[in-house]
Amino acid sequence: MGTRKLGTNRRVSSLVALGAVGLAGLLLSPWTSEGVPINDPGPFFPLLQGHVGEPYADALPRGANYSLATGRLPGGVALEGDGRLRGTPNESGLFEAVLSVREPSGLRYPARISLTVREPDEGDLAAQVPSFRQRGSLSVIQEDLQLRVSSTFDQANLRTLVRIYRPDGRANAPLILFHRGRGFDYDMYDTLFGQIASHGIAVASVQDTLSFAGNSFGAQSFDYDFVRPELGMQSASGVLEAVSDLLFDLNADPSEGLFGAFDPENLFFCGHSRGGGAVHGSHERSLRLRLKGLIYLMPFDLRYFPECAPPGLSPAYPIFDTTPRTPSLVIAAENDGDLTYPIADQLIDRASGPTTQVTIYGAVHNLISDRQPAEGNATISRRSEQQQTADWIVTFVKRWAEGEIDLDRRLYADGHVADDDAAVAAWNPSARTLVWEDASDADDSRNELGRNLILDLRRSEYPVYPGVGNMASLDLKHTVLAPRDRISIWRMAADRPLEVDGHKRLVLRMTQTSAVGWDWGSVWLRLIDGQGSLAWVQLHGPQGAGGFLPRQGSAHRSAHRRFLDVHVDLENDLLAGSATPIDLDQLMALDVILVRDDDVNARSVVVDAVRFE
Amino acid sequence: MDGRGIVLLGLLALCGCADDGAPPPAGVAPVASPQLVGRAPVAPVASDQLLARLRAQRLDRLPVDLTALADAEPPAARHLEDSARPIEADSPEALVSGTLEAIAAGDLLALARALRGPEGALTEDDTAAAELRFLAPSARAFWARVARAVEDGDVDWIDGEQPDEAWLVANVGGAAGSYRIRLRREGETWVLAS
Repeated sequence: MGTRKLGTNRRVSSLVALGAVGLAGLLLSPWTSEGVPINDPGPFFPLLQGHVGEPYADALPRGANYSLATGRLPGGVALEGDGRLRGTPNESGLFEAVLSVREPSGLRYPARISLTVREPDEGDLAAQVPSFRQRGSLSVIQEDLQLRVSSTFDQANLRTLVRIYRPDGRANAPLILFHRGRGFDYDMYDTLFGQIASHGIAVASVQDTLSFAGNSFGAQSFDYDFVRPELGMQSASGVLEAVSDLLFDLNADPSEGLFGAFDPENLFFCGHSRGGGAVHGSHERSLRLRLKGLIYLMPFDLRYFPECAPPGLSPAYPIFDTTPRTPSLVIAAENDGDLTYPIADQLIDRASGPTTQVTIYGAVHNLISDRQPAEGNATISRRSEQQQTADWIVTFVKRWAEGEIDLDRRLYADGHVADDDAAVAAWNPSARTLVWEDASDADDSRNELGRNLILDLRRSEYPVYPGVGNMASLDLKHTVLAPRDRISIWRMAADRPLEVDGHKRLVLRMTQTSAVGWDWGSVWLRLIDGQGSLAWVQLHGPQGAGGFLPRQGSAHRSAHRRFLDVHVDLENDLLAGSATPIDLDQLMALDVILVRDDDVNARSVVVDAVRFE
Repeated sequence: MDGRGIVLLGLLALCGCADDGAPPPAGVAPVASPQLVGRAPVAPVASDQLLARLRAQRLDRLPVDLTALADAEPPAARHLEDSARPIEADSPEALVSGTLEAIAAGDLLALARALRGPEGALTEDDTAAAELRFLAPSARAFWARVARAVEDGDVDWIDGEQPDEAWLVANVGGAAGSYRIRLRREGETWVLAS
């Protein structure tokens, strides 16, 4: 497989290999004259999920012509030349295909699509899914390379060390390109990456002395490191891209020790801290970079910097409000004492593609490394933080690289409801996803489908995130409910009856602002149909009643002030509250009912992204 | 629920306007029954227990029709008195110094004023924003690092692009490197802008 980047012809830099890989000398870029790389895997588009027997529609970027090259779509779904996909799928499963794309300019390249179709009741979603917290069965080969690359950001030439972690005996492994954080060295993550590689995933950890300081060296560019850190992160993104090019050149060369080691179709970028800011930069260009996914670890958000707000202050390029669809995993540390909340937490609000945001309770910024001491109030051990982080990364990569769609239970469904270890919020819409309220319009009195009514509470729409840096420019909003009495209600009313019987679950993204977690009272949902029939769900109550929200006093002493998803199964979790069953095809209202038992400690409940999936 | 709510609720019950959720007349089957919803099987949870909780919290008596009961206008934010120890804010340096002292003292009202600016009465919205910005656990970690940088003199004051704007760059080290805090002047008073 050749290099992956689109662009003009250039010469690939020389490289010096340490360890298992010998001196390789100059390699020539295999790019074609059209600027499309040989063996280009093409951009990756995760399509909206579908359900058997239900109408499906999605669309690829406009302006090009598309045709099916290899693979297949589910029966009943057709691809149209302009990139629209329509129909009614008649079979479930994961469908992956390669399309041939022709731009109006005549440029041709492939594009990969992935479409998951589930049964209408999602009964095909596995009940039990594995954890990868323990080390896998494969032994790991660890080797250091020294590469000379030219950054794609500023064309700066640099030599960089790269530590490779490879699963022994596995060729064509998915590859994670990793960028360290500021103040960290590339070789400080052996435990984390060793565990990931033992599950069959290769990792390349990049030193990059150019973009910002490490633990054992200062940055070559004071400007990038100190004066304009956003440029340092975009530079780090460019270095990662250059290293990935070179690694895939080695991967394609039969004379190299790395020949055939990596799968160019399954390239993931990952970064910690400022390296996470680099990932944010690469996310912006992820289609062009042919990335399969992005992994943010306690990351900087480039929109913290006003210089990155569109149109961008050159040479910084703009970071737009919404992220491209490329699958992403965001891991935040609850007690991060460096990139403090909410810097890492606003990515989920801007997701357009499959996104999972995990806040590990009791974790801090530094403990995913092997050597840096905890900088914040860590209430879990280094080993636990590393194991949990590895678990999520392996889950994410296996889902998208190996098509293990059973892992959707953990990444996008109810696999972590009321989890003691982490707050998990996700966004992975299907063609039938129906959003009832996301507080994104300008009218507080209405939701997406009707009126908002309130009784004995104050309902406001504002960002619950403190406006640090330039983040306020994103104009994010949430629904904030401040109870005024012991029992209070927020009603989302619909203008006309909603047909939701065909949906699997009701999902609410929730958090609260007290210092005592959710244990100041009870939270209930009440669904009401057109005949006045009721269905109840207790999300939380005394002694852990409900079980949809985490209990205070559980592990890690969390105050549970981070967003998490509540998943209510419409078949199994509703309790009738009237003489006649509720008609889910005539739904008229959803009430969020707060019962405040602790007047002293209770604060506000925050709700976002209320939807039927 | 306040007195108005209770009165209206009672009126609704008397008029028979409330349906399934209204208080059940004596001798009539309870409003909430363990009957399962929609497609079976439903509610693997202990339904009777759940219903008991529902009743114990008197939620089964909540009206279903909220149209007449609901607050027609969103309740205004409650006004609050200012702190007895307001933060001096006649310069960016004084504002930051006073803010750090108020954080240490947990003086939410003073912090709310620093965030809101000199105009208008303080409201509960201001204190909510100040709590998020200054006193939430992660916010305390942020400001503790700023305080350390100020104490060490490891800060830079930078004029903003606008004449009434200034930036504090606190060199906190670590991954962040620095925190940048924007201040703006409103009349003779400086306020924290971000």
